[in-house]
Amino acid sequence: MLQRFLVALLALTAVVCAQRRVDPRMSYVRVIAVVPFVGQGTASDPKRPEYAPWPISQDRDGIVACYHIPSDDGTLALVEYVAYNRAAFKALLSDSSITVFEKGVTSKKTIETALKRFRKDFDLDQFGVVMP
Amino acid sequence: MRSAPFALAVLAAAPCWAGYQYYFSDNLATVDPGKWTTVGSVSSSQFGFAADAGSAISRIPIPDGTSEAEVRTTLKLTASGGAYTSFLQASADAHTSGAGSGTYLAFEMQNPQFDEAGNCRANFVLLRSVKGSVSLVASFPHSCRDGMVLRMAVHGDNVLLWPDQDVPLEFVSPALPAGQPGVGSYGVPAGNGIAQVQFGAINRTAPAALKAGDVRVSAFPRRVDVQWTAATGVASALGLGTTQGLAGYWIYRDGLYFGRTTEARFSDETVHPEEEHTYSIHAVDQHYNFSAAASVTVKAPDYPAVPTSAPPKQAHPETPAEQHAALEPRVMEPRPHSIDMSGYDPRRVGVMALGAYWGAAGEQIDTLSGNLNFSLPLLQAKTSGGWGVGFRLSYNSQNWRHDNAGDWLLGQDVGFGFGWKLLVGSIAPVTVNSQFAYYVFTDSTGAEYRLDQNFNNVWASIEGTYVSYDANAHALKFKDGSSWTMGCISAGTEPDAGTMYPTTIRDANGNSLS
Repeated sequence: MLQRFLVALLALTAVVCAQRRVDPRMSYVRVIAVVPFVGQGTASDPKRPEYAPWPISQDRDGIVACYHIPSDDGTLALVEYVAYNRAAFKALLSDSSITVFEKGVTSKKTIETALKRFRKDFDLDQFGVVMP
Repeated sequence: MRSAPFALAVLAAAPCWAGYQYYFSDNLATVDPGKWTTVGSVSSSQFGFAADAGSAISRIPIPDGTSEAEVRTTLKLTASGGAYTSFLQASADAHTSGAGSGTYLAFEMQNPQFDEAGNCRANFVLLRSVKGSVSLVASFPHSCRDGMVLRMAVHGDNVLLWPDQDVPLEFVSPALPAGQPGVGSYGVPAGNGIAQVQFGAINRTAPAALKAGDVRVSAFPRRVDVQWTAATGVASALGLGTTQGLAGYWIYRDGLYFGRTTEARFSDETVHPEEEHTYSIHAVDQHYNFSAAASVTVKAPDYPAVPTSAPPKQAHPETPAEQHAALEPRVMEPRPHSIDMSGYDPRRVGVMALGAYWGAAGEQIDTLSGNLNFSLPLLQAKTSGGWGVGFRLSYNSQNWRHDNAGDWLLGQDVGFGFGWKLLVGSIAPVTVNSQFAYYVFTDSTGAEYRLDQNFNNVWASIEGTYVSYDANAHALKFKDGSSWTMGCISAGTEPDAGTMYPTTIRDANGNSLS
């Protein structure tokens, strides 16, 4: 009973506490990567960036959102992945075969310099998942 | 001739304001082959469109002759399961069930799931298909409900999605050269369906620019506050949503994206003393038309020098009559409470570790700002070992500010009365140029501390609080060895979007509350 009350109270404070809004392109934990595509290109198995969840589950411990634009030659995906917990990126961050950055931690200049090698017009200001 | 008075009556009944009008609306109780091209197994009922595996693509041309449009669907959702699709720029054979076919941009809600409490959660995907070759452009989770409204629009290379919310999510995806709007579904359980579909043309009139004179600024050594008169007249051009037809205001600092807001104000808490920045503010409507920028250049002042001279002598009236005469002008012409705050950052709420306060018990008056803070410990949640954490109901009188730039409303009523808050503690990142500048820790009195000392993504403060935030582990750590797991994050539509709150509180011995 006490535990339920505490959870309810924690939830209540979460609703009514500080009123600072984080930009919707910076909320949660985000990783930007350049990865190959996987998938057959059908509606049931669409072409998608590697590590993008499919079929999409409602596992809150995994990658919950992603968005990609193709590289100039169309062979690679420039992706932003979003998770509620950094642990969801364990496999992605330890993959030495791909270019990967943690958004917010790595500078904008560093990310843009690296990704412009794959897509000349890449602009971090125009890229990212606006989380609802 | 008889129809003329009827038509006049209908016209007279229409709203007087020239709000946004969808050019087509259908409740889909039947699928009229004169209006729709169907693909696959399509059925409809009193619940609306509920194809087992199929779609219906509109035959009605988009009025402006382009392939850009908005599609708005209202869903009947009483059970878990199914997929519900909105199409734009779709070929006549477009559908997403099975292997799928055709050319399209599709916004699809997949597999909504109701839990025991009746809460619904679903996955949303943006698909792009060219002649049957399908790509997943984006995916994200969101809540769902019976009667929910999904909207999708294409304007240039921008795809806009509204997953049952007022403000769109924007994605860049190359537009397709042609095609029509439509709807589709598959695996829909009995009782669910697309109860209404509406199509609208894209608004291409940009909102009027904000008047530069309406943009007001207050600058402090580590903070710049900007507010302006809200854009008006947008609703008449695009009366969508509840935000006066606006998606919000996009703010650029020195030409770089800084952030967005749905309110007519923002604060830059990443400035340093004597820095100069130019802020450009664009009003952006629901169809992603940007107004011309209203720009303002601001220089943050330096910290004031500490006065070294003796304070000026004040004349002290000697007699009661002189005292009355001195008081009379203030009584006759009361002036708003105004403080020259150029010397310090005005944001001082709660009871700071390095602050000086006067008062007793929960009542503390900040001797620097004069603000009153009152904190009432409401309860103490305790572990079996006797350790616990306190919840406080706190009030701070810093609810308004009056300065040379006008009046600033700082407080709000969040359910406990104006200015009152129930707090345990929170963490919020402050960002600039797509990078974390620092985190703000708010304690249970409402005091805010900058954690701006970064050691490998572990953030600490030099403001007198011995708290560090490990952003790698989402853990807030205190000097007594206790820690909070910040596992709750406010969603993007909430006033404190992105702010993190504790879900597990653990003492140094491993006892925990969650």
